Amino acid sequence: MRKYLRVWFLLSIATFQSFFVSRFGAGLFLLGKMIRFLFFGLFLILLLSRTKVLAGYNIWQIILFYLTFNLIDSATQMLFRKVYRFREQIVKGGFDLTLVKPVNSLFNSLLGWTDILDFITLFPLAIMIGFTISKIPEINFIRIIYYLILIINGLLIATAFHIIVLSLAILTTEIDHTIMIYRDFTGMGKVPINIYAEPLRSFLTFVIPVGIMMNFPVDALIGALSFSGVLIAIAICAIFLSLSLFLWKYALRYYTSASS
Amino acid sequence: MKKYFYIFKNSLSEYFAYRLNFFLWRLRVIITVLINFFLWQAIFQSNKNVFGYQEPQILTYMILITLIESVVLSTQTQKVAYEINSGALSRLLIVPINFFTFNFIRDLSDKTINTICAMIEIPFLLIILKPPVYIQTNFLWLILFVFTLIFAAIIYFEINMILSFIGFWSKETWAPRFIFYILLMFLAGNYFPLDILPHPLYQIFLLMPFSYLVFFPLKIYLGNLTFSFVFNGLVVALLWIFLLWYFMYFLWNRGLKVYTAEGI
Repeated sequence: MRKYLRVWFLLSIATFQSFFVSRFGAGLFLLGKMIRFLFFGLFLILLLSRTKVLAGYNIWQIILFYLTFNLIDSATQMLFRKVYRFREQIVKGGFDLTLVKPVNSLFNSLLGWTDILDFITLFPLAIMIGFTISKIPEINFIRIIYYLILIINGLLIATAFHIIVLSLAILTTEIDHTIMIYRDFTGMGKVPINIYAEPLRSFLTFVIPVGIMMNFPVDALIGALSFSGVLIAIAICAIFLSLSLFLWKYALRYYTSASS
Repeated sequence: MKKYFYIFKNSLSEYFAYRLNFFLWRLRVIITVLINFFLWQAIFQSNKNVFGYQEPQILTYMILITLIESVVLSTQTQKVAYEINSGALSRLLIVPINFFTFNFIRDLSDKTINTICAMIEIPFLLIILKPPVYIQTNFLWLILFVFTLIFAAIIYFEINMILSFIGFWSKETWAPRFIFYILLMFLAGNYFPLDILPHPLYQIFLLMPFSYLVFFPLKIYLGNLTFSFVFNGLVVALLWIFLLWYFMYFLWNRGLKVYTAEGI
């Protein structure tokens, strides 16, 4: 475990340095991310200022849904940025070099590139979440613990999905958009999934559990999710993680080292 | 003219070579539209009238974004930046074709295949979602709608070519494009009609080219507008077309002077 922490730390330092090579581009990307975050947030505030309530949630609760989504999304992108480059490795045969290294190939493929731009956004997000929580009444210690547990749970489900994307890249080299499709679906969690009609809502809860990843933490915090709901979320996370690891091991057997 | 037909045909063939990728791209367009559609539908569950709009108008606006994405916002011009940076532009400079017509035709093939898909997707969405929609029956508004779509496609082509020409001076072409796409999503009216914004902000937005890519054509489709709004909009859109056209050629001529065919 200590060895892997050290490897991750060294890889992260190396990738952080690479951002300084193209400071202008990195600055523009960061600016773009901030504009996107602010504009959609302002759009939600503008809507809620007129309608007061959306799907039964008030303005502070909706803002908390949006901020929690951004926290999980940014943390996921910060950790798993290398997944976006994985298909290229498979198509060109570069994955061979990962396989021969004395480090777990899944660890390397998932966590080999830490995105500093998303890392920078995490701290302001955490502060904004703290401020928003202070505006919501009837929040107690237990609910905050549930909230934190379910955020970790959401991150683990996101990990499972990234492992599935890696596996699919090995099994079928044709898919280019898989990770972006995943992001589009998780993007539906910017707002409470209660706004979506059936059967899309069930799809977003059980098939691609965007609701469990992005909405359950806030639902637990505001008292809209029972203890059994928390347990169900953890169980679904465990199932997804096990399935993704099984798929990864299965996919590795079909790696053909094309073009190498 | 025949050579441009073959450029069109070959560009079209590329989509059939990577069918799954194209299918997934269309799926992405639909997902984005669905997020906005359901968000607005949820808002109208407790309100009959929001920001002066009724439910059929807004839901029609959101569904027609699928068409706008295909007719206006689909492009191949991002390839130009790569061609400049990789030196592949040299190949295009020595063949007897007009560089801008070549790119316009390449864009046209992209728009054609995407529009055909949108024409299938929109009825499909209407059958599945069964939303209350606003069907424009006034022929004048429909003609104006087509005109504004053409204006929007030209403006979008010009902006994208200008962004690609950054490649003459820098390898950082993707970051400015990323910023442009994000601004486009909000300032063009992809998430909401721009006239729900505070009035002074809305007036500023109307002076920008973004408004004429999505908001203005869709507003025309919905109809019931004053003559001055339509006239002013068409004049500002035309002004942007000419300004951007001049700037695009200016950058092209300047860029060619510094182009070194690096990468060949």
